[in-house]
Amino acid sequence: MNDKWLVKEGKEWVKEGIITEEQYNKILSKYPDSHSKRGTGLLPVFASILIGLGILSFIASNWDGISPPFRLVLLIAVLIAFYTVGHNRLERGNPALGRGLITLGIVSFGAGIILIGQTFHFVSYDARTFVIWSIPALLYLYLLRGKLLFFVSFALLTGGQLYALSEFSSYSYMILILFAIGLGCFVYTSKEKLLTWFFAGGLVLHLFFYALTLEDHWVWLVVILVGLYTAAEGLKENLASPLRFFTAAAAFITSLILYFTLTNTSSSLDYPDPVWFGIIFVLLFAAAFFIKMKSGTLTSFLKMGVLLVPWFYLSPFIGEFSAGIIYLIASFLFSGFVLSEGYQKEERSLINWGIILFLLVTFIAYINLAWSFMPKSLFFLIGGILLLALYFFLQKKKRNVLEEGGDSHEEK
Amino acid sequence: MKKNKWRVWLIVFQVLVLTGIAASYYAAVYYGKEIVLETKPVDPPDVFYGDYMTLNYDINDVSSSLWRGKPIKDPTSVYAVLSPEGGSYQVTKLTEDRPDVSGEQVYLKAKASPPMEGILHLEYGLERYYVKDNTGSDLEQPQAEYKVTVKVASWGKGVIQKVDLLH
Repeated sequence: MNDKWLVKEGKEWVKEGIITEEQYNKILSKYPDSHSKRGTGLLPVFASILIGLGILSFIASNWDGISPPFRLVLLIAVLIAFYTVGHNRLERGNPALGRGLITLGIVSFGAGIILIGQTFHFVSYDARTFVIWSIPALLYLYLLRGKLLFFVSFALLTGGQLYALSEFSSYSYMILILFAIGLGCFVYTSKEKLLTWFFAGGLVLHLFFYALTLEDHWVWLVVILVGLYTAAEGLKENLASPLRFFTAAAAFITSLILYFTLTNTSSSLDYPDPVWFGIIFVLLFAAAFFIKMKSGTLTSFLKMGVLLVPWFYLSPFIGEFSAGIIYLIASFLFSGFVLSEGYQKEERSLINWGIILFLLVTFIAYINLAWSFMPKSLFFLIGGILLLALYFFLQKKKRNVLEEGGDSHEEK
Repeated sequence: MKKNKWRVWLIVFQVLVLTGIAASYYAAVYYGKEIVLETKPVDPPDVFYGDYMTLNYDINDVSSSLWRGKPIKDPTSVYAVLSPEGGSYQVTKLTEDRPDVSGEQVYLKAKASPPMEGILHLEYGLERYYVKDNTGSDLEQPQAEYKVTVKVASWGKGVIQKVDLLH
């Protein structure tokens, strides 16, 4: 709640006689001034980040004068100091500063591992540094809880995966497990919506990275997404709904990528063995189908299912271009489903998503199909007009529905 | 009191991990056998990245005929047996399991990438040498070849001791 807004508006209400002075004060006291607290609460966090960066750059610049054993002793002393003072602050009732200092302890631990590696000129060629590093981070997360420690673990695991992947092109299953189970169990019991959404998005991202390491066979991602969607059914709604959201987003992006590659590559793509792919896919798809049918939400699954069907296996029969067009149609259908669901439920956010997706698909389809045939100036002109027209049409539709919806509610 | 126990143990655990890692390197240096490896000629701009230089050893690329195990399709852990040849050490055998070595021979753990045109690329984790500020410039010579002294422990771990210009 924005207190400033309330204070200002409240005075107006008193002036206009909507509420009395007494009621105004009562309302104000219901929303205690949380701003100053929140502001100063963030300071230790920022301070921690700055000091952490300082420690890291200190190490990165190779402190030449000190002999390696002494560097290690120094780092261990720093680590013990951060943890001890951190625990001390926690006990004294200053959780923000306490957790900030413990985070610095975790940073020093990782810095220590990196430092030892540098002292002995060792390259690990995988994510093992980050695996070891994230273990205390996760332990502290479980013992002390708190958003800061969640984001530290999140950053270590995701950053470690990205680093190992980009630097050494090696994917760490250990990190995937630590992320899925370590952070997953934590957010499952946490009531923070922000954390569950971060976790779900992160998990889909980690699985996406995994699919990238399969190179030609990256379309296994489709199976992974169906699996994730099915698995989400067994979870509580607080985690299931962000998982469903990100699975749908990933499926949508995958369809667009497949549409783009299938309509643009002259050489035929290399698909995974259809037998294995088919068996696993059908089993998972059927599982999701039955679970959703039982819970009476089958239609919402079928809407997304349109994106997840492996249409690319049709390309030997109908050609890659046509298979690509099927993906385009699937993407259009999906954004249409989101739109119509939004209209039915009169839910503004769903309608907005539907519009964005619809415009996105139109835009990509247009660029992909019209770029090579049309003179460029005409291309941009027609594209712009097309998008504008579509935008106005959809906005008008949205306004009508929301207005009608509003009226009908009042009549009731 | 009991509540504070895990806090102490968690700190002790981390300190032990750090000293354990450091000890494993010191042990390799202390017990290891000293060998000399040579690098391929390279130009400094390809080698120096800020605070470290990359070392491209002769032993990084070996003939894939040395490998007798299953065909390598994904990066695989292997053991490379090194024997002295001339002034430096060369790979003479590749094995799947820890090899027995005798005399002057040593072995290093390595990661092998799928072979290309009969050449197997191996990485030992020894390909980076962190240079102290302002001391690396002596090593920056065009078409330089380096002589790298490495201590190799009997359990297959190598630690770089020093890097010199070959000529």
